[in-house]
Amino acid sequence: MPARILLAKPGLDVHDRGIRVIARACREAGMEVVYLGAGLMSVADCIAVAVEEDVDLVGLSIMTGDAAKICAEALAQLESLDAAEVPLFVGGVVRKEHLADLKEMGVAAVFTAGASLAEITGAIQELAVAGKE
Amino acid sequence: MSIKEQQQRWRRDLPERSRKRDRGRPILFTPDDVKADYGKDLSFPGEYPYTRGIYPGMYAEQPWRMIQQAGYGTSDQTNDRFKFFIQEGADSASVTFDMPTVRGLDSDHPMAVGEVGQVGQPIDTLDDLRRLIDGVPLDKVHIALLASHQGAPAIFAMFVEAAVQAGYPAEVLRGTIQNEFLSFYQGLPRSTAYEPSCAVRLVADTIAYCQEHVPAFIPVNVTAEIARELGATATQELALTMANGMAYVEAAIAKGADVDRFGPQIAFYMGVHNNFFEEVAKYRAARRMWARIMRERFGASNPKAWRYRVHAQENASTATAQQPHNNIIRGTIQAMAAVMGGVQSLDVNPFDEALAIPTEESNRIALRTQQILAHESGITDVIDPMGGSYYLEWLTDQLEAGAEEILQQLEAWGEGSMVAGVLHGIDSGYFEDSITEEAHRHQVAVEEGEKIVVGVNKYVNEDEETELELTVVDPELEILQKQRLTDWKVARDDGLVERELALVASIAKGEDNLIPPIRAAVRAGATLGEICEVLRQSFGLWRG
Repeated sequence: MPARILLAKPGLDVHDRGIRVIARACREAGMEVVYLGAGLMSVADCIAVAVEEDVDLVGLSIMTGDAAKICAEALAQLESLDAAEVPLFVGGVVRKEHLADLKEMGVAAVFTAGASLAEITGAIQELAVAGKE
Repeated sequence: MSIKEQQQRWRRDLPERSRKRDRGRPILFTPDDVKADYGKDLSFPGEYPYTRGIYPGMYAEQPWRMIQQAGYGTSDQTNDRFKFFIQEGADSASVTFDMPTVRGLDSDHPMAVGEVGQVGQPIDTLDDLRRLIDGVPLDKVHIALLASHQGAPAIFAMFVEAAVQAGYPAEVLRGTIQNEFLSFYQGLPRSTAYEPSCAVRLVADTIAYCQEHVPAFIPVNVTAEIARELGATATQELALTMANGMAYVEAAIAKGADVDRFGPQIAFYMGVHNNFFEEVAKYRAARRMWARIMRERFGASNPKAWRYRVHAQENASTATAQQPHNNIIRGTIQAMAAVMGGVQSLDVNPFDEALAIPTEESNRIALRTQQILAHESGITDVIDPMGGSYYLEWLTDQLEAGAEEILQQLEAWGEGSMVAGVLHGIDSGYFEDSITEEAHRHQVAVEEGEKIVVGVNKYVNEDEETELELTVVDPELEILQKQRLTDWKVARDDGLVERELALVASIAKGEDNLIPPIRAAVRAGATLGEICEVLRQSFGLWRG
């Protein structure tokens, strides 16, 4: 079974080149991608779709927003929908001093500038496999 | 011996490595590669088809207009930056907007928290436009409003209203509203919510309105620059720019506007990317294509309507966050390409563009880059200085041919209508897919080292610590902006606003021009978010 992932850019930001390229790379790596893009959705809406679509993994792209706040909200929402086991990863502009906080609150992976497509898709595959076991 | 025979001999003697490259794409061009007929395809500057420039004297008459972008905090900060530009010798300024404004939401919308004034400036009410232009001589300084999103018609109406109230007669008022909805759907398909056909109607309405009431104003700045930023090639950018221009002209004519009257007011906005010669050729090809489109396809007889007036905007996606000072060099090379390409105005990227809202210092260097090119480099001594280069003429033809292929595809989808063709391209996901494909190709090429980005995948400073003074937008400004909005709403006549908004809604459902009721609503005190909400309700939502 291929990994099934949701990719979204919550909030108002429209800068979606990065996440579009990731979506394309994940599809090429054989994953099923539910792609919401920069669809003007709140974090809660994105997570609700993820649960409804029964994905193995949720990825959020962040540029203008506050990464720690967005991740805390996403994790809380996953938990409240009985989907706490679904790993959350984020990519984009995350300040160095926030990286440890994100890990600590339970974000499975953070990809910032310089991460390669192979690195990202590889890590996502692994997370999906680990999640299913 | 003919040139061809001599070239074959030269090729035989090439070392292996260069021979291999030459087989891919030629590494040398000769007179045989120049297919252009001088009188028909190149001609003289100021003469059809304008390949060598749209004005007879070009920069010998006057240099291009030097523009810098501003937009952060509130209108006060942007206005200060405008005045700084003018003081430093800029001719014009353009404005960028924050994400709530781009999404058609007011600063007090729940989703706007933390986003107000961050990556552009907020617009909620007429008051914001009054502050924006306060003390700026609009008869001398050309203001370009870089709004191609839901809020564009409201921002246009607010600008005209504020300028007229400040004493500039509408009959001579200059300025630009980018108003390029199609480019937004093509580049950022999931970010704009009006039904695309309704957005085209808004542009046609703006064109028709300007023709009658604000004739010196530029009602649409046709572009595919967003697509380019998201990965599109030069050929795709050229094709999409032509396609969108054709779509708007077609829609405006259908609205009853006169192509010879509004045609000269259609202006263009193109990116400048890294490949120097390709960029020069792109601008030359664009002029030739647009002249023929206007004259042959739309039957324009006014030569001013054939002229491709273009602003060059350096592509921010070429700027790197790593070793940011390298961006000064990139910006200079791109600026040279634009000037060699014969543009009418230019915006050089400040070197800290990839990191934050530019500072005064980085803006000044960007402006100085233009001034040095204009006054020291000698590039402006002759018109179209690279015209006649075997390579450049070949490349110009090549880009045109590639763009023509894409246009034929759109034409076929639209069965002769470019509006229908472009809308099909949007609905079917064609633009999104083909642009993402190129972005992915680029990323892979960079990661595999096939494409070199200096400071990113080669010549990396491992222990790079950037010690730059960056602009930080004061979070207090969001509170101030919201307070102003609250005060504005308290002071206005809510009943009047409701009546004007109801009128916008009813006209949106019919065929009449939407700009007059939007301007009336703005005057009554309606906010950008309220006007956009009415339009969203009337037009229906669209998700790509």
